[in-house]
Amino acid sequence: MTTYHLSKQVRSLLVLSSLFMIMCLAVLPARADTSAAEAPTDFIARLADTAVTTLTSPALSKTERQEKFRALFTEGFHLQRISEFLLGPYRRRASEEDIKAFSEALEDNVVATYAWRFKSYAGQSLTVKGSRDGNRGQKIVATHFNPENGGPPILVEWRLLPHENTWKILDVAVEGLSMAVTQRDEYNTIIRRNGGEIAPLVELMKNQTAKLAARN
Amino acid sequence: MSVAAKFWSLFSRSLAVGFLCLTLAACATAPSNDDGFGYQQPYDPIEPVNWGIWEFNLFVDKAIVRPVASVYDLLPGGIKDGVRNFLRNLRTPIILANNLMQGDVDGAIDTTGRFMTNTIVGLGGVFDVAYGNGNGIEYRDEDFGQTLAVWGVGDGPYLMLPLLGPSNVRDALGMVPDYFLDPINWWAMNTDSDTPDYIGYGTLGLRVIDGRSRNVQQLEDLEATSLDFYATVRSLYKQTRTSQIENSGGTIPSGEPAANFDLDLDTIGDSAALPQ
Repeated sequence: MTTYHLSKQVRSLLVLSSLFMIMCLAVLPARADTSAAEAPTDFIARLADTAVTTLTSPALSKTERQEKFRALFTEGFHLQRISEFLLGPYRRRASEEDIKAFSEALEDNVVATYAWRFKSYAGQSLTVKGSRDGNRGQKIVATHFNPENGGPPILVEWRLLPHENTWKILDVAVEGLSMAVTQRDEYNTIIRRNGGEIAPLVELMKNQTAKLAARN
Repeated sequence: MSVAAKFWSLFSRSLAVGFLCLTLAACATAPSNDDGFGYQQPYDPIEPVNWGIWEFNLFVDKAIVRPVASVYDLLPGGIKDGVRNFLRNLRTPIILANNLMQGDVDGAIDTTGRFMTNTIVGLGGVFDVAYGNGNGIEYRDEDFGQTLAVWGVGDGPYLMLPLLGPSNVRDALGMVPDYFLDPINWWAMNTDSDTPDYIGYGTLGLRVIDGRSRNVQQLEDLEATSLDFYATVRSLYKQTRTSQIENSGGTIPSGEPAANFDLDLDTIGDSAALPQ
């Protein structure tokens, strides 16, 4: 019965929100060795390690944690491609300035949404399970996110795009729920409601960022 | 109540749901909402109505469901897991029938094996012995909405059902056969006693409370970080159902929606590739 779907659905929402912690784990330092292409699985493992070592110290101030997170996020994720994907069909009509404003608002929004969660890091970990081919040189890395309460591992998949001997993240999916698809659907609903204009969405994002950044 | 009256009461209730769905299905021929980039706009032609029901559901959730779930959540984890295992075991007839209607023999064998093991060894389904420590057979839900999808029926317009939450025309229609596949409802149809009704409503209520109690904090976070919670839930519902229908085990397809991704991305700065 659909009631049951409701609880399944709710479970899926739970899983998606676990992604908050996971996305936070996705950060990385500069690689010393760029001579050989890095394996996609190594890339993800490196991200997780680096996130834990650089972002979880309780000694970090709010601003320090946010800025460390921002640096690692912009390095690990392909912000430009993600922005273009999220705008969907409206990207065609958007001006360069619109896209740039959206991209900046997105970055700030991600930082405000996720950075503070590292403060309460309690031993969650990511186990890399393997990788498979996506479309056109993309790779999908499967990982298990192990919650701190010893609950069953959650399947998290990372869609990677080759980038200068290593990789950049395009999408994170939790138990089949894609972050990029979800946000694209949400943003496109808002853009459509505003007659195809991107600026009102950017305003909403900025307001929300201010609210989220005020936490902690 | 007489048997005939009882049957009629049950039948008319399911019929009402079915009729509602059919009415909607009549205006539900999905238009081509592909914008040429492979991006499917969410198909939600009665969004204003859905939105109103959504607001109602959120109100009920905040007023009743969440407070009750928060109290329920204070129970020890072992008891909550026992409740969930028991409720899942009760769904076996529905799952098994849908496994078979989908032609999924392996699924039917798993469902039967789980039921036998958990009912006998797991003390009536309270312990999920079949899944064990994570290496056994995992619980996998099936319903007639998924069966219809396997048979090639499209999902139709998005529907927000009062109290029951996100759905679509196909999945809402699927509730009717599932209702008749549930032995509790056969019993209700063949007795004057109100007992099966109470059991039916009781398990329904427990199912909702148990599911909700597992997500109190997470849903709050999701709402706080969504710009449009309605649109977020609509997208998640569609993705969840796709994953359930394909029995993908939570893995994303290597192509879709990467095809959207690729198409979108590959056409950047390449106006020749744009559909006219």
